[in-house]
Amino acid sequence: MIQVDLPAAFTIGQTFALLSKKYLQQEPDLFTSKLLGPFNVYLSCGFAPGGLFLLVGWPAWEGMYSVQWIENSFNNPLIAAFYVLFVIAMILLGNAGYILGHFWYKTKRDVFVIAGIVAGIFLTALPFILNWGCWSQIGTYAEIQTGGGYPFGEPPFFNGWLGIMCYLFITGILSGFWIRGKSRKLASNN
Amino acid sequence: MLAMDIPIAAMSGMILAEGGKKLIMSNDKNKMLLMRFITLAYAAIFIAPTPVYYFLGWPAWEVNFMWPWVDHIIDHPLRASFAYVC
Repeated sequence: MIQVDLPAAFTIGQTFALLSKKYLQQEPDLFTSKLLGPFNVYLSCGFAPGGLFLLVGWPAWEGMYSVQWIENSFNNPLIAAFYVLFVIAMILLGNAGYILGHFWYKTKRDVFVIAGIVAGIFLTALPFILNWGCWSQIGTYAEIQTGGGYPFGEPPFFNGWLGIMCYLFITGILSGFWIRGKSRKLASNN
Repeated sequence: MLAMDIPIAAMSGMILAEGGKKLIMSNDKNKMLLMRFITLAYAAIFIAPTPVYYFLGWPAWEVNFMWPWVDHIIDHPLRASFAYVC
């Protein structure tokens, strides 16, 4: 869901900054950090395509049934551009979270990173709380408005959702270990 | 068009490698990591969104009118994953 994925991208950036803590505390340059490369591999091949997959397959659901135009990307340059901007925004917010975390470590304000993660988790959960239950029905905007659609736990949606969640979970865990290992190695070399 | 975009993506990587030739040949691992970040950020923010944009706006045109199913992606996990793989 767009409203969830954008704060989640920032939270992921902060979480990966926390995992890179040992190295980031020693790295003076914010924009040439050696772990930005591996982190961007995860963002561009692991996290961001997950949001794109759900937006392409179930656009109204991904937009929390707030607008109908999101379903009509065909032959609409502005709507097609919206999808692309969503992916770019996820990657930029992820990098912003990571670089901000690095800045806080550099200026000895370590506790801000934890606060950033907590705030990010709250902002990620907030759209679910405000639109409670809107994720439980799957369908087009018109179907949901007329009480139609099918339940969350039924295929084909559930198969696709479960597949992408497993992918996000596995790539997230593996990337976390990868970046934490690299961070420790780089910190011990300095 | 996808048939063009994939070779263009590979070519862009080659051009960036050519641009960073001296750095690559210097064997400086730290600078290589920085160059990898620049290449990845360029690919993620500029190269990849272009075919995604055309695929979403004009799917049949993007695949050279080869497959009719690209016009009907909604509520099909396997078809949606095609855009994801792009």
